[in-house]
Amino acid sequence: MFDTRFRHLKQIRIQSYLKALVLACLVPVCLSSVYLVHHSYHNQLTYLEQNLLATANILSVALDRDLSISQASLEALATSPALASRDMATFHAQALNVLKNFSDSDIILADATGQQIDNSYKPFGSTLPKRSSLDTVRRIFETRKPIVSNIFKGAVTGRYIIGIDVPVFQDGQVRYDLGMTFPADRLLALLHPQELLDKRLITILDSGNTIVARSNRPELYVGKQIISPPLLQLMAVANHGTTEGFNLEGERSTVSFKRSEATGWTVLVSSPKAIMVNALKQWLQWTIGSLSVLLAFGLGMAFVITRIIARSVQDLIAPALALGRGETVLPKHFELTETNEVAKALLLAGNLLQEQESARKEAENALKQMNETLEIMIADRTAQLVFANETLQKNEAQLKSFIEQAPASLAMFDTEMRYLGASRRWLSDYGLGDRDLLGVSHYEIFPEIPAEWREVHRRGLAGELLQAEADRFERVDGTVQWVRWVIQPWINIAGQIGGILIFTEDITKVIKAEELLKASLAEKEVMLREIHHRVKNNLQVISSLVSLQSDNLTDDRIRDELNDVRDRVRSMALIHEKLYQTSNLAQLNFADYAASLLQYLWRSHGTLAEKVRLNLALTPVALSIEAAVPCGLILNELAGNALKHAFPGRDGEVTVNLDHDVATDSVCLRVYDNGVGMPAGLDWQESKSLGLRLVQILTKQLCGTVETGTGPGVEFRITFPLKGFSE
Amino acid sequence: MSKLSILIVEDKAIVAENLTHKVRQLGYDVVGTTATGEEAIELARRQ
Repeated sequence: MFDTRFRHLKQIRIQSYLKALVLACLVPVCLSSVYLVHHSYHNQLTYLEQNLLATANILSVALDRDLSISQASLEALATSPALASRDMATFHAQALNVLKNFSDSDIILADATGQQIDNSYKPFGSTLPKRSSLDTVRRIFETRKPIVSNIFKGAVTGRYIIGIDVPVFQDGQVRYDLGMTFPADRLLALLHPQELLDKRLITILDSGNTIVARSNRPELYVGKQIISPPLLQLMAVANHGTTEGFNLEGERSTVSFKRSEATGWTVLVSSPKAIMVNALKQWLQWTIGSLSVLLAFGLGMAFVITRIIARSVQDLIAPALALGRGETVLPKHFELTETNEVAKALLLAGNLLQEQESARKEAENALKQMNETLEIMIADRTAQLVFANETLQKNEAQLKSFIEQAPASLAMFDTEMRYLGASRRWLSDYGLGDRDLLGVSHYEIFPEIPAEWREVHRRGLAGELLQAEADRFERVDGTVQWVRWVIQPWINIAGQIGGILIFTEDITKVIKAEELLKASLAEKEVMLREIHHRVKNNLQVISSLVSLQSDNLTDDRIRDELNDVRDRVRSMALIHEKLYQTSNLAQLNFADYAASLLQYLWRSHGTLAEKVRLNLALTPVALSIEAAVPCGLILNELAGNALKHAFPGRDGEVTVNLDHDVATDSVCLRVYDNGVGMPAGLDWQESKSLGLRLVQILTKQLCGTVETGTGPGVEFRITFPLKGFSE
Repeated sequence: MSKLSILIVEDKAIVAENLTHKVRQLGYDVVGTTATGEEAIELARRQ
């Protein structure tokens, strides 16, 4: 019936709970009772100690009073006129009269030597001995003050006696010692009223701590010293107090004492400890006894109540089981209200269960019907799915063959980089033969794939489109492969990245061809440079030959003509020199060339050039060799003419401008001087001069135009289009 | 006035010859011609 899950848990009976309750109620009561008994004991002890000390104080005062009465009587007698007049008979009578108030006492008169002069115990006139306590007599004469003696045994009576002595003064001098003795027994009268209370013991000690009187059995202890060490220690440092110790009977007692300031005598009051302890024991017995009865009663009640509750609860088991089996149970009366309530709830729960059961059965039927409908629907849907599946398989086969037969290196991967398909070209490009790659990891096939490639795959899987035009890939066997590739994620039906597509093209051959081409180009460049260099050298040699030839001539006209040839050849040599110094070998900076050319020209015509200033305003223009050679020759002719002919025997300046008109993309070369100008009537276009003819011919070659200025000097402007010559 | 001595360094003989001629025309003393820089330094040291 009970769930096995609860078996390992501890089960506790109601009885245990009730017992714990009884204990929980009674234990604090026990503890507080014990505490109260203990506290009360301490209070009583304190009260007793205070009481003992108070009694000691009262008795000490009473003792002082008793002794001072005797002393006062003696002092009164000491002033008797009979003593002054030495009338001893009268004094004897007076002494006897005083003794009527003090039974059993005697009065003794003695002189400074201790010789008794009168003794009330003997008839007047008897022969008397010396005093037994001569020390007391001496002290009276020395201190001139009354003395109360310690206890001593009487010389005549053999009893314990106490003496009080006073000095008798005559004319300011101590004449006699007047003493009174009385038996120690007299003091017992002081003790009797206190004696019966609490079995107390009262003891009087003289200043030497000898027992003078004692309330219990004085006959045994009077005249003895007390020996209790704690008491003696305390008495040595204080004149009153309370301590514990053993009395002379050997009982453990609490004892208080008080010492009189006047006499140095002490009163002890003690009470046996046993009385206190007995009272405490009685208290404890009562407490424990009553608590035990309470505990037993409580536990008994707990047992009875438990039986009642347990029986009521257990009575519910049979009806509950019957309800569980679905049987009908009639309402029944139980002893406890709570049990009745539970029984009612059980009945109600049983009814509810039955209702639910019938509801469940109805639901089950409905479910069964629904199931049948569903099965029919499933059959329909399955047929549809089979058809769709067939279509899908067909499509898949088409897709597979599309990938396989694609004329490119193509592969499709899932998110774990496993092959979903690959083209035949892929298989052959990567030397994979006829392997079935489906489901195999790319990294399993090519473990050498480096980390950066794996990173690229990861980025593709993260949604990036990646590509490279040429990527170097070193294979395990050491061969180098150049690959153009594209990596692109593909999206599945759910709209998520299903993997990547890799397209690669082995462009190793293309790259290698490119490399060969580059090498060949570089080689050709070197050769071209070398050719330019050699052409320049050859032209330079020609120029030198012409120059040497001209030096041998005597005819100035022919020499000048040869020098013109030299200058023309040099202008061409300079083109090649500038060309092989440029980086691209196809074009040169004509401004730079023009400056060098004119410098050469001016230098080689030293004497003429001294008087002619050269002004240059040159814009950098890049010209090809086709344009540069004719343009250089034109510049050589025009500047040479100006240098040689514009300034016969005078100073002047030649200006050369080079401009690039961006709008028309044309170059303008302008050479002008401030010299004498052309001879009058000369049409330069009809001139027989080779130089001017060259200018015309070469400008035509450049598809350009020649313009001349109006003077006063000579000005030529050559304009030609850049297009067709600069490339 | 002491004449300035000039050494022509040029690997093309005709060019060198032309230069020598021109320099002499200008009134300088040409002490020799040589084709390479190393030879020129050697000659200059010997002079």
